[in-house]
Amino acid sequence: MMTETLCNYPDRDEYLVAYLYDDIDSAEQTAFGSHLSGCRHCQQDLLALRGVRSALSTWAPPEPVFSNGESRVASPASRVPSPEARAASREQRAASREQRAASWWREMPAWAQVAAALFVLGVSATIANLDVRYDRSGLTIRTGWSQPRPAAQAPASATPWRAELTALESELRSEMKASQAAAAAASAPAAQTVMSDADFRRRVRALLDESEKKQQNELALRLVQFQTDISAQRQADLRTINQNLGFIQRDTYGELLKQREGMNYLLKVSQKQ
Amino acid sequence: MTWSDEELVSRSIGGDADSFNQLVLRWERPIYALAYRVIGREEDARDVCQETFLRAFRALGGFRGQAKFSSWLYRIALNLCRDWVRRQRRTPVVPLPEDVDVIELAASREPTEPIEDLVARRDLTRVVEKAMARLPEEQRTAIILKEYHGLTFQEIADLVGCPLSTVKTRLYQGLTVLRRDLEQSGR
Repeated sequence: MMTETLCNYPDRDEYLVAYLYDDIDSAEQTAFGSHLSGCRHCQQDLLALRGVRSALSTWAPPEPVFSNGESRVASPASRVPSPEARAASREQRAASREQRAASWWREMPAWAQVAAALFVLGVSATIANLDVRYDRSGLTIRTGWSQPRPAAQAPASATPWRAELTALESELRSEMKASQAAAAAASAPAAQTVMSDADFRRRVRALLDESEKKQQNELALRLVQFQTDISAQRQADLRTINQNLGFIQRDTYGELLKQREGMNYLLKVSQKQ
Repeated sequence: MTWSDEELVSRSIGGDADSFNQLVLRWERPIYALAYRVIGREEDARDVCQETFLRAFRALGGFRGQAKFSSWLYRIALNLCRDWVRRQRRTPVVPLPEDVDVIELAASREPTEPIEDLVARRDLTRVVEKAMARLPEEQRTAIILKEYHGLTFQEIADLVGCPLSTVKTRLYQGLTVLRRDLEQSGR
């Protein structure tokens, strides 16, 4: 950045900012002060930078909340936690357990959540013994308690959706079990201590790095395999080409021989004549 | 009785854990504020702050008092911030607050401050944050250390390891860029 050549005071920018912050020795301050009184450009610049400092003073960081749940750093010198800290730690562990318990629900795919909602709806309808009909008279919804059940009615024909509902229920249960097992396997081992935010982040980063490495290794393996396949195919193609060339050469040579014999015969005939 | 930093350091080295806790209490906010303003992210600033004191605690035995304890602490924090920036490999982005909520402001304002002034102040803070985030790291660090932590030019030069004149030049250039940004935003 170049300073406009409106002022020829040596090292003008440095003296200006030193004067601005009053971080200047007295002799230099007096000298620059004298210069200021006669330099309009420096006066305007100084005034503008004072305005900038005023604006900067409005910027304050937000109130921090550290991993110990308080607004102060957990000092590494503190070995014995206070009773309040122990209580806070217990609450934090309980909240963490609830969060882990609920996390498997959030990790479920959306379709599974929708299926779960439908299942709950179906079970509720079953419990309420709902009878839903749509016919010429329109949509009719009745609770089954209002009329006696017809006896010996084939369940499949009257409520075809029961079989589907049962199938959906068993599928959903197996999916939820699988999700829970996956969430339990992915969660931290039964640690008795609460994982701090920083430790959790480090663990997540380590897992991501590991996953990335695995993917890279797999990609490398596939590339090598692909290259091997290409090379093998190339070799096979070359062999085929050579073979075909051999055939062509043989055929061509055969034709040449025939033509030569024909020519020789014609020569002999012409010589006899 | 209020112990000086150097006295607390001596007592900590001697085995008095509470002395180090006193140092943490005294310097946690400035260190956090420094980290936040350099990095621009609250959560990462907390991590840097925590890590700063952890490293300081571990290295306390090697602190010989050549510089002020605060300068030593700032150096650790700045190095951690620099590592963070390099790791991210991008210019730190200051997360802007949500649109101003007048009700929230009304709950937090000073009794004598009109809402309009509070809104204007919040708006200005946002502009300043954005402008600071756009500055090169060296200029931003120089302004933060001078403006918010009151270090002298010489202390800043010792801290970041550059000549005194370079610090002043960076400060002037950074302030000039901020001036232009603020003028463009109508401030």
